[in-house]
Amino acid sequence: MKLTIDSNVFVEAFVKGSPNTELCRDFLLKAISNYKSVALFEPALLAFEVCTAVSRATSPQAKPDEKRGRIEKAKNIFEILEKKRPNWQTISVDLPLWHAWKDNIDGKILVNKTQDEIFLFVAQQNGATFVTLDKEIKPNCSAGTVKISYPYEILKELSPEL
Amino acid sequence: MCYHGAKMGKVVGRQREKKDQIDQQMAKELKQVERSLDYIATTSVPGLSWRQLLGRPNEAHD
Repeated sequence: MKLTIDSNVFVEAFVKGSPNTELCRDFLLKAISNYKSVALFEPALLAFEVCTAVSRATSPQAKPDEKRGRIEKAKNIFEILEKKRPNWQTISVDLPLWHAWKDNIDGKILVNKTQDEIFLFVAQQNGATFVTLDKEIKPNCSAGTVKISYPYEILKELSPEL
Repeated sequence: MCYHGAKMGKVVGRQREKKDQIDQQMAKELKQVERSLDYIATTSVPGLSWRQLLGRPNEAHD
C-alpha cells in the first residue's frame, strides 16, 4: 500500500482533546510501524508545516526554551522517519515536473491552496493514496486523478502495530 | 545432517537473527516517535483546530 499523509493528520494527532486525536495517532503509528507493507511518500514541506503548527500550538505563556523543546520534538519525529524508516520517502518537488503537472490537472483538481496541490502532486506522481482529514478535497478532484481516503478508511486495512 | 544442510541451517539462523534485530530497532524507533507525539499532544493548547494551526483558515468542514 502506498500512502501520502496530509499534514492535518499529524497536526490533529498532537492536539490532545481534538475530535480526531486518537484516530490520527493510531493511524499514524500503524502506518509507520507497518514498514513492510506500507510505503510512505511525503513532500519535504510536511516537516516544515508540522513544526510551524507545533509552534502555534504552544501556549503564549510558554518560555522560549519550552517552545524550542517542543519544536525539537517534532523535528526529532521527522528525523527518525526520514533517516531510519525504510518505508518513508521525503520528496522534493521537481519544478519542471510540477509545472507540467499543473497544466495537466487544470480543471480536474480544484483546490485553493498550493500546500494541498503539493501533497496531491506527490501522491499522484508516486501512485499513492492521499490520506487527509479535509473533506473539501475529495469532491474537488475528478475521478482518475488522485485516490483520496480518510484515516479511518485506511486504518481498517492496516494490520496491528508490530 | 549433511554438510550442506548444516550450512543452510546456519545461514537461515543468521538471517532470522538479523530480521529480529531489524524488527527490534524499528519497534524502538516507533516508541521514540510515540513518546514525542505524546509529549507534544499533552503540552499543546487545546481547542485549536488543525486549520488554525496550519494557517489555512477557510470555511471548509473537517
